[in-house]
Order: sequence, then C-alpha cells, then structure tokens
Amino acid sequence: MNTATTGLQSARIGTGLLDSTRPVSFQFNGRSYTGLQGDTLASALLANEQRLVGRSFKYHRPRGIFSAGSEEPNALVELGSGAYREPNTRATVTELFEGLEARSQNHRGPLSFDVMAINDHLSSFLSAGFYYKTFMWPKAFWEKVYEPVIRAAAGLGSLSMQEDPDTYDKGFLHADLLIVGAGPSGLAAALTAGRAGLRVIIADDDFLAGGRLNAEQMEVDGMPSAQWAARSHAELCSMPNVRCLLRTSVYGAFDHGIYGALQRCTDHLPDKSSEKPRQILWRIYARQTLLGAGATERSIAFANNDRPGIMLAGAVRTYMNRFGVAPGKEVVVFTNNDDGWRTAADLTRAGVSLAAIIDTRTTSAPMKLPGVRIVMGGQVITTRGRLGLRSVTLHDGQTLPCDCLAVAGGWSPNVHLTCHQRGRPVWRQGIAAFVPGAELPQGMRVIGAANGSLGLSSALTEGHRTAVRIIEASGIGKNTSSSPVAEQESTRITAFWHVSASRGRAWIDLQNDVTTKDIALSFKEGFRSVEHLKRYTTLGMATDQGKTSNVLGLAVMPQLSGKTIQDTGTTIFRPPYTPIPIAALAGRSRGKHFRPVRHTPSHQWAQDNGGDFVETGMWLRAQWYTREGETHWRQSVDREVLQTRRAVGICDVTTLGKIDIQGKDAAAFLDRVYANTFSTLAVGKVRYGLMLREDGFVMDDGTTARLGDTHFLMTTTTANAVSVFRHLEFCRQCLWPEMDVHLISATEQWAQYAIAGPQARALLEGVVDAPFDISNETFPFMACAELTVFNGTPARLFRISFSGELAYELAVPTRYGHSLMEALMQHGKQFDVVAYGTEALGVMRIEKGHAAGNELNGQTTAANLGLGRMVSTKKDCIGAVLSKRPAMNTENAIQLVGFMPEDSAQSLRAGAHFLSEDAEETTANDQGWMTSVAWSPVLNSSIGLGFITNGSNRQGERIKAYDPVRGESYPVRIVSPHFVDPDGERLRG
Amino acid sequence: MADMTLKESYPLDSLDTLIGDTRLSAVENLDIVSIALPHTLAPEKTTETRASLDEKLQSAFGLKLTETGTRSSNGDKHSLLGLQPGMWFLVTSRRTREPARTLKTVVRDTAYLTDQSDSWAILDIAGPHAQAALERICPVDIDKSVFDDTRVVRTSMEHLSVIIERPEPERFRLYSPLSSAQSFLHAVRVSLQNAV
Repeated sequence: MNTATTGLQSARIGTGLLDSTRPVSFQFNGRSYTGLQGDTLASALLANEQRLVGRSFKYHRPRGIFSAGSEEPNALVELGSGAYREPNTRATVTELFEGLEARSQNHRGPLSFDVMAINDHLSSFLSAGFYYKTFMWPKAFWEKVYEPVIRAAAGLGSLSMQEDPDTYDKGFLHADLLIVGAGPSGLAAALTAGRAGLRVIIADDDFLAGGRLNAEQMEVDGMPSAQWAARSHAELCSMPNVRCLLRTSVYGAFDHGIYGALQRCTDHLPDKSSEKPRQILWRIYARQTLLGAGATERSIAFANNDRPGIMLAGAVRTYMNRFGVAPGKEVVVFTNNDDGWRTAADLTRAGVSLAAIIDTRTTSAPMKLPGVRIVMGGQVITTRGRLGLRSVTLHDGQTLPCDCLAVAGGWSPNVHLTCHQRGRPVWRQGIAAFVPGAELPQGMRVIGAANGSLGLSSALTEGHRTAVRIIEASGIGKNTSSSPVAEQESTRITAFWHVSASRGRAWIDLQNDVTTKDIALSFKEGFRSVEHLKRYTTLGMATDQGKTSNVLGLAVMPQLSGKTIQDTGTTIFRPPYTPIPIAALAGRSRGKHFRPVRHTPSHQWAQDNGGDFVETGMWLRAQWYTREGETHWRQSVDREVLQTRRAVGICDVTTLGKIDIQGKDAAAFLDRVYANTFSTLAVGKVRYGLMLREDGFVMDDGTTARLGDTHFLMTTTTANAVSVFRHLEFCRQCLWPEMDVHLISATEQWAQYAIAGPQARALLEGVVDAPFDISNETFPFMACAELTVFNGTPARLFRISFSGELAYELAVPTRYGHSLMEALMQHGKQFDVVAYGTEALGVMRIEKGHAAGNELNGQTTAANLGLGRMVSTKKDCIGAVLSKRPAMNTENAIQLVGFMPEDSAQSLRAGAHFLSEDAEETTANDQGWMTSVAWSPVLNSSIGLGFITNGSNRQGERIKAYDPVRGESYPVRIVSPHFVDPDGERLRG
Repeated sequence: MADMTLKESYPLDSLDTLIGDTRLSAVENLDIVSIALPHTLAPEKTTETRASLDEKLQSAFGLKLTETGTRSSNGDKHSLLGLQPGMWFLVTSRRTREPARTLKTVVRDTAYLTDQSDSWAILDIAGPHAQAALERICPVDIDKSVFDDTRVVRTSMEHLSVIIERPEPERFRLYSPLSSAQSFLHAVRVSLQNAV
C-alpha cells in the first residue's frame, strides 16, 4: 500500500473492495484521519487503529467496534454538528464521506478518561432494576432529585435541540416481488425473477450489494464472490422491471403485503445543503416477498468479553476482505463452530498473525492451519486490557497476548420481519438458532441464511429455487434457469453459550450493559417470562434491539430455569428492524404543510381588503376585515354588524357543505334522514332541516332547496360537510339500497355569498338578470331559483337568512366567485355595502338566537334546542324512536335560551355554568352552561346563548353564572334567545 | 341593472412550468359532468337504462360506457371516466356555461347529471419523471404495465382526494378539489422537485 495515498491507516493490509485512488478525510473527536472511498466510519477508524470508540451505557466501560453491520451495539457516535448533529449513529453502517465529523458519546472528560467510569467500580450496586429498589425514599425525592439525576446520567448521545434542517419524503412502490436483502440468496432470486419479467424490488441497507459475498474469499460461478455480486447487481440495475434500492432498510412487515422501507439518499454525501430529501420512507406493496435478510453472528459470554478489540469473527473477516483492514496485529479466534475457522483461515491467508484458535468443541480440528496454535475443547475465561485488549486467559490458566479476539458463537437468522405479525420463530437444533416459524406475513417466503440455510451454495440454490416457484405460480410459464454455483462451506456447530468457569461479569447485551449476572438476578427475583426479563434487565432494547444478544440471553435463561430454549421462546420482534428517524416518519408534513389548506373563492379579495383569517377545519375564512384606523378586532366586527343591520353586508359562505341529491326517491330519502318532512316541499322552495343521529341527538342542521321534482340541494354546516355526506352515503348504500338516490358533493362547485341587510334586495335587483323578479311577492322568504346574474352568469339564489335580516344567498360556479365578490362590492357601494367576516356572522346569529356548532355539540336534542316539534310524528326518520326516550323528554330538561348580564359592564364567557343565585357552587347544583357569547353592538351589551334547566319557562329569572376556570361569578338574567327581531319581520320583509 | 360581467379565475392561474425535464401545467378549459345511472333493484331495468344511456353517449361523443376504474376517450376532446358503479364523469373541452343542462338534452331521463366543472383543480404532469414524482404521493400502482390510458382511479394524495388518469404514457392528469388547489399544487411540485 502507498501510505501517501491512504494517510496513516497503519492497519490497512489491502484495498479490499475500496477505491484506493480516492482518499477521504474525516474527523473523529476532533482529530483528522484518512480513509478510502468505500469505507464505513468503522472500517476507517480500524484502519487508523482507533479501536476505542465509545463508552458503554451504564458502566461507562471502554468499548470498541464489535460488528460490521446494523447489529452494532458499541460503536455509536454523534455525526455532524449544529442542527445537523445526529446522535447514536452506528459507525459500522455509516458510509465514509469527505469531511465527515464524528464524536464518541456518553463520557465526561476525554474518551480515554471518562469520570463516569466510576460506575464500573460501583457495579455491585447497579444491578438490574437498581433504581426501582434504591430510590424508594424519601418519596418526595423521586420527582425532584432522583429522576432528574438518573435521566441526566442515562442515554447515550444528545440531540441538537434545533429544528432539523433536512427535508424528508415519502413514497409508494409496488412490485410483484419484493426481495429484502441483496445477499447471495436475494441476488440469485432477483436475477431469476427479473430475467423472467416479474416486477422486482430488491432492497438492502448496505451501500454495496452482495451482503456476505463482499466479505468472503469464496467463488460463485467461477469468479470471486464479490465480483459475482457486482456483476449481478449491475445486470439487475439494467433491467427496466427491476428496481434496486441500496442504502434502504426494510424495517417493517405490515398487513396485506405492505412493507416499510427507509432509503437514505444524501446521508453519504458531503454537501449537506442539498434541497433533495435526505431520506425517503417508502411504503412498498408487494404481491410476494422473499426475505433474504441473512443472519447475525452472536458472541459467547465470558468474563470481560466487552473490551475494545473483541469482535465477532465474521466482522473480522469483513474488515479484512471487504475493507482491507486488519482488526489487530495479534489475533485469537474463539469459536464453537466451523465458521470461526474460516476467519482463522482468512487471517492466515492475509498474513495477519494468528496467536491461537480456541474451539469449545472436543472434536478434531475441522481444518489444518499450519503454524497456528489450536486448542480444541478450550475456553476463554477472561481478558485483560482496559482501553484495548491486551491478552486473553484460557481455562487452563494460560494467558495469550493479543489485541484482537474474534468470537464466533454461531449465527442467528434475521427472522425479525417474519415476526412482525405475531409469527413465532422455532428452534433448530442443527444450527443452534431460531428460524422462521410456519406463520409468516402474507406472501412472504424466507430464503438463505435468514431461513437457516447458512451455507453459500444452499443460500444461492434456495434463492433461485424459490424465485422459480413464484415465477411459475404467477402464470409466466415453466422456468428452466439454473442456480448460481458455489461451494458449500461447513457450518457445523455445537452450541456453547456461556463460559461458566468465568469469574467476573460476562456481557450478554453490550449496548445495555446486561450481564449473565443480571439475567440470573432477574430469574432469582421471579421474572420467568422472556418479556419480563427483557423489561427488567433491558436486554435487547435500544438501537440494536438485541440483534447480537437476544439469543445469547435466551440461551442463558434456560440454563437457570431448566427449560429448553424452544420452550423459553423469544420476545416479540416489532418494527422497526433498525432505527427510523422521527423526521422520516413525518416526511414533508411539517410546518404549514402539515395538512392541506382550503381557500374560499374570495380569499384573494379578502387578503387585498384587510381580511384577517381564521382556520375552520382546513378552510381559511376571513373573520373580519380591518379598515384603516381600526386598532382592535372588535371595532371591525362592530362596524360590520351595524352596517349590515343598517344597510347591507356580504359574507363568503362557500364553506358550507353542499350535497346534490337526485333521484326518484330523493324526497323520500330526505324524509328518512331529516327529522322534519321534505316530501311536501314545493319546487322552488327551501326548508330548514334538522338531522338526528340514531341515538336521537342532533347531528347537524342546514337548509335544503328543491330545485326540481327529483332534485334537491342540501347544505350542511361547514364542520360536518364530510361527516354528513358520509352518513348519507351509508344510508343510501347500506340502509336503503332499493332507493333511487344519487349523491354528489357540490361544495367545491359553487361560490356562495350571503347578502344580508335591509338593502339586500335593492342591491340584488341590479345583479339578477331580467326578467327575474325578486320582489317579496314573487320571491318570498325561503324561495329559491336557478337564474343568471351580471349579464348571463348562471347562478342559484336562495332567500334564507342566518343573520335575521332580509337576506339571500347567491351562488355562482366557483370560477366566477372572485369576480362576483368584486362585482357585488362595486355595485353595492351605492347601498353602503360592507363585507363581513365570520365574527360578525357569529354575532348576528347569536343576536338572532340561531344555534350553531356550540349548540349542536352532539349532546343536545331537538327539544333542548327548542325545535322539538320539528321531529315529525307523521313519518319515521333516523333518530325518531330514540329521541322519544323518557329521559330525554323530562320536564326539567335543558332548553336553549338567551342570557344578559345584570351589570352591563360585565362580559359573559362561554363555558360558564348556571346556578341558582344563592346556591353553593357544586356540580350537584349545576343547571346548565353558556354555549355562545358575543358583544352585541346593537344592544350595546354582552349577550349569550346557553342551555339551562326548564329555560323557556324561566325568562326574566336572575341566576348566577359561575366560571371556575377563570375564577368568575356574576349574576345574569334569562331572556329570550331572540335578541333582535324576535318576530322575524325583517327577514320576511 | 349593473353593467358588469363576471370574469373567470382559477386558483392555479394557468400554471405552466418545467421542472427538470418534466412539465407541470394547469388545465382550465374542461367541462366535467357527473353522470349517474338511475338506480333500481330490478336488473333488467337497470340494464335497459344503461344500454340507452350508452347508445346516447356513443352517438353524441363516440364514447362507450366503461366499468368502474376504466376510461374511454376520444383523444383529448372527450373522455368518460368510470368512477364508481353506475357513475361516470364526462370530461369535454369547454363548450358551454351550463354543461349539465346541455348534456341533459342528450341523455334525457337515462341519467342524473351534476355539473362538476368548477369542483376540480386539474394538473397535467408530463415527462420522463412524471411517474417517479407521483410515486411520492400516489398510493396507487401507476406503473405503465398496469396503469395505462384505459385506467382511471380515485385515490388520495397528501390527504387530498384525487382522480388520476394517464392519457399518454408519459402524461398523467390529476383532478383534486378546487379549494385546496394550492396545497395540491405544492404536493405535486415538491414531488417533482424531489424526483428529478
């Protein structure tokens, strides 16, 4: 190697699959290093002999790189700086890029001298569940002292506490076949399915396709396995029917063949200012899925098995073969299976000094390794080296100097996705591991190492064979392709979990600092279920979700309980398989784009004319229009109310739901969904309608116009537009499918404006086209018509009033809505027209005593609202029967009435409760509540609507309004809810 | 009588923009009428009415009634979108201010009609990245192998109701409620920016 190209990189023994011509500079804990293009942060750190990379969670033990994949429990680092800082990132899957900044985490002081390491010396007191047992008294200390201290000490990295500057996206993909994992079985399956024409998605969380093919010195189809992987991937990428997703983790298997996948798009790029999404969260719909997620190697529990330099044997192979890095200068292999011997063989082949291979089995050595000390039936009982491994001690007391111990405890198939819908894995003794059970997510099959087929040849064959079955089942025809050819390596294993002769702590879960003693303690304290064991000891929690530790922990427990591993079982694996940023789950639904916004046709006009907007559902509505000189919203609202009641006002009411109802049975349909009768409504007329729920309470109200014999137009409240439409569709499709009724929303189709006030007719006379006559005689209150306005624009006119004034609602196709607002205001100048917003609308409806959302709150009946007689006794309707329940029709039921303060300076407050003036302020004395209040500029007083027991018979009575939330209590008088024009002379005028 | 006439305006304001190699443009010159087949529990009666409606539409527009989820078209001039059992949208180039009233003279009592021309904001997205952009927001499988010019689907994108069709291999047409047109445009535009 040319060191000038690679920087120091003193542990670099080759180029592996890296690009030796492209050095990459990066920083770790402020120190500059150099790696090569294709390195991970972990491999680059190892290349630079930086083995100490972090501190453990609880005991702050020095920790090094343990694995070479997403299962990494130790090498968790903070990446980036400022708002880009991201904690708890696994160095083993972090692709190296120019300028990468990484820092170790969870230490106070330098990494090599963490003052919190005192915890390690206090470990006797920090056993499983120690804080449950220790911080019990004094009780008051828990929240104020213990919890803050524990929280400050716990955790690993820390967040930047700044807004995430990156963008994220989501998406939907569809495939005949989703292949999870681009290892040997996945690539073999993808090639077969892709060549046959299936739509294939193959996803892998690595940035290089091939999985273990890149980590081995093996051959496939006569070429080096990594070369075969690269060639296969290139072929797949060239197929139009195949989508290759690298840097993509399939993290969850959900219902109906749906999978979640996270694609990391820009994490590996030096330029962080890209406007492209950093990550995309894909929802993948797959007819069939092949899970080829491989297997994860596990450790063996022995004393001090957590020191920097102790690694999984497969990871050692990966660092040597793929990354050209020697993880140590003097290596010992500790194994219970033949796979560990392959690490030994690769080490000797690469020229790395191999001090010994220690095999727990008492059989003969599976291969010859000239010059290597072989100890069959041996065990490592402890290690030495605080900041880095210095030696291992064997069962016979011998000490072997070394700086790397490669541990091969066997391979656990990555069954996680098979369990996301409650599938339970089953124990296979032959490989000493759990394999997928019979219950798999819909359409899923498992191939390769994930299925327990640990040998390369069997993985390739299984991938190919399963793909062929899928192809033939899909109807494409017989597939005669052949499987890629490779040697089948030996994977014999004799289960060995725990060196019982070890003294001292033997780690099971490196990330959570769970030892064999914690498991024993948990068992001793009565935790028998593995789920309880997990929660009590934290075994298998956090970012790695116990990928390297679960099986080891589950194997130690049966040794205590006397059960088999199969009977002990596993905990339930749940999504996500690997950590998913919350930001990726949110996607682009952030800030103002959290949900859609709906604009009324007059939105632009309102913006240009001082409109102040309020959110009503997704709609933005002008709540008032501020004019020059107005400094308080009440000034604007009072002006709008007074001017409307004096002259004429215009309000955009487009947001009301509009449902077009047609059919021969439309009238009968309305009779059934409304409490009152509509079949008697004449064409050209409008009627107020009250809709009940099945339970007899009021659901919604509105007006419905009859435009023709078989044609009605229903309006709903803005808030209930969707729910009423859905209710009607349910009635039409499910309750009365025999009826000839067709429904379609017309809310968007029509821009609709209320034109209210004594000058409303005068204004409209200049708007409607001749010869249409809107005189009171020909177009009276509650009339409607289809006509044209402003010289030919089609329109609908309804003479209805929410304000209590002479009023109309005029609708035109929405494309004319903006223009209509301008034209009405222009033409209305001569009548002193004013635009009014939803606040003035609310004031006027309260002055008139009209119920709205505050009164139709789902807990009130027609009788409560004073509309009991609208529930027809001559026909049936939804809610009619249950509205007659005795408890809903008692003499002292609440009724809607008006309220005025006794002191005119007192402002009423919605939400205040009513009590007799001298009653104690208790729930038992509660008689009702204030629903809506407003300042009435007409009456120059605060006014309110509300419900009170037997209200209609108590007008004039003085009572107390009690508002415990705001600490107010004041006298009010019960009055008629109709504060303005109680006889309706104005609206009929 | 006021001497004024009303002008048309659209929230997408005749948008026509190129993002990368893919074009995003508003479509504002279409009449859309909902056609609903009168409902009856007597199958023979329904069949008879449907046949009559079919004949009238074929005669007037050269369009055949389609099944739900499919469309028939006559170039860009007319298309018939099957959106639910017994319900279609007839989409035509703008010809009249009251298309439902005009169409009534064609279909007579074989269908109930509702003007929907002003209910939808319509976007065309055309170009090599159109499908990739829509993959970000469209849950429906729109790969050309399963979603061609004979298909139409009503779905939701970014919480908004959307009708999607594919008149040409690299051109999609999207209909979404008019009031939320700006939010819809934002969703599609961001998708395209992210995908190109």
